Amino acid sequence: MARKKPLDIIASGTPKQRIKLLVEDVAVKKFSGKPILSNKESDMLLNSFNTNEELELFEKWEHLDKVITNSLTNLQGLKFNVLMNFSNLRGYILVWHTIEESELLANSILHQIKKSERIKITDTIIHRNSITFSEVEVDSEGYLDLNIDFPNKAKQGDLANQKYSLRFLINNVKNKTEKSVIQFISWRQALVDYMKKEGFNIKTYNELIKDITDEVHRPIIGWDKYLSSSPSFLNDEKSTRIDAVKKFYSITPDLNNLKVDEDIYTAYTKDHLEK
Amino acid sequence: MKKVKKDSEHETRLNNIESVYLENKDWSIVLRSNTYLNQAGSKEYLIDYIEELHKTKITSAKQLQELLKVDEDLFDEVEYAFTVSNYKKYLSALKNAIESGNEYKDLLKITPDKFNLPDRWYGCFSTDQYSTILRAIGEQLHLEKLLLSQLPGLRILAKEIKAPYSILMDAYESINLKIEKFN
Repeated sequence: MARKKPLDIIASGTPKQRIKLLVEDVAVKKFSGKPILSNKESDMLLNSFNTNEELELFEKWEHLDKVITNSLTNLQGLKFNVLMNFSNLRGYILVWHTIEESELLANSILHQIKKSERIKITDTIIHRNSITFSEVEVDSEGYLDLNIDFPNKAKQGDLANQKYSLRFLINNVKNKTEKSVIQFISWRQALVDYMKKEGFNIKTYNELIKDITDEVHRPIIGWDKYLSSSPSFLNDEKSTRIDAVKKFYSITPDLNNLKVDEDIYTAYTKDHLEK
Repeated sequence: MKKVKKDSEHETRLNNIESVYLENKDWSIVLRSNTYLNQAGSKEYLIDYIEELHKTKITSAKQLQELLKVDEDLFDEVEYAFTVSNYKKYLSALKNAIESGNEYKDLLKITPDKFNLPDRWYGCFSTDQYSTILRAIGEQLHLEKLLLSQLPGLRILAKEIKAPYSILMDAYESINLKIEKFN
């Protein structure tokens, strides 16, 4: 069905059609789009609400617009919190990646040395060097083993001797990231449900929610290796044997598995939307 | 031994060799033809075709020569075809074993003699059991340098196939030497 022109809606539209057009125009103006209405049309539309019922509807939608705009701002803020956690996690992943590459580089050099000599060299140098968040060990063949997953042996309260593994730190950041994503999807769902319940179907706001959501759903890192949502290391060349160790590397939160938290959802609805 | 998988490409190549043979009814012409000399995998197709034709398993280059009815001056070519074909099947068996979850110790049990290969052979990228195992590991676990940043580290792969780390390093070096030489 062809969409009615603004002037037709102003002249003969139902109160619901008129208020929707008005809010749509306000939404576009707020978020820097091209206005739907001219100033004259906007004034005409504002003056078209005259009966008690129409004024009541106007006030209700004015309130809804305010609540939803605030909520969108909240969601934007939360999105940046999620993206900050993604960035933090990506940083730790890149440290892991570099440690793994450093191990290969060092071992490629050690591989050129015969075993007895290699063991002697690595046994000597290992005590002089350390790598952040790793334990440097020498295996039985004299190669370096940069272990990123080891228990913290220091007693609780012994702050000077705490030594955390990279894996431990990554898991902490992952948990924090997951919490922020759960908060995001819970707030988002509360907002979407509230808009649906109130019949507040405004294109600009819907698109904004979609854009914010899409940003949160972008992969944290470009390599499938670390993405939990990807079951394989390589998309085009699947290998059962290599993929058997994929779970060791799948460290990013899998957003498809994160669900809305009912408590967060209810609290947000109560405190921010239905207040 | 597992039969070589015959996909449509394999069938086409078999047909190419078959058509040269049927046209001339002389294997010495086939062995000197461009179709045979320039076609990738032609040695395997030749052996497969002869085995199917005679309903027999070829176990020596001499037997192959007899079945082909070619003169002694083509024996080197026949022997080469026999070696390359067996080598490719051996390599394929090792790669399949890796893919289906076997460990390094299991790969050592897959010996060249089961594929009618001697302890050492010539004319192929790998020349004995050890170098073929390295090649199979390198190819099956994608140890090419370009892919390594997207794939698991050698340490975890060594644990996965329960091989000494030095084996993975040898395989890594071996496959990358091959790529560097090729480039």
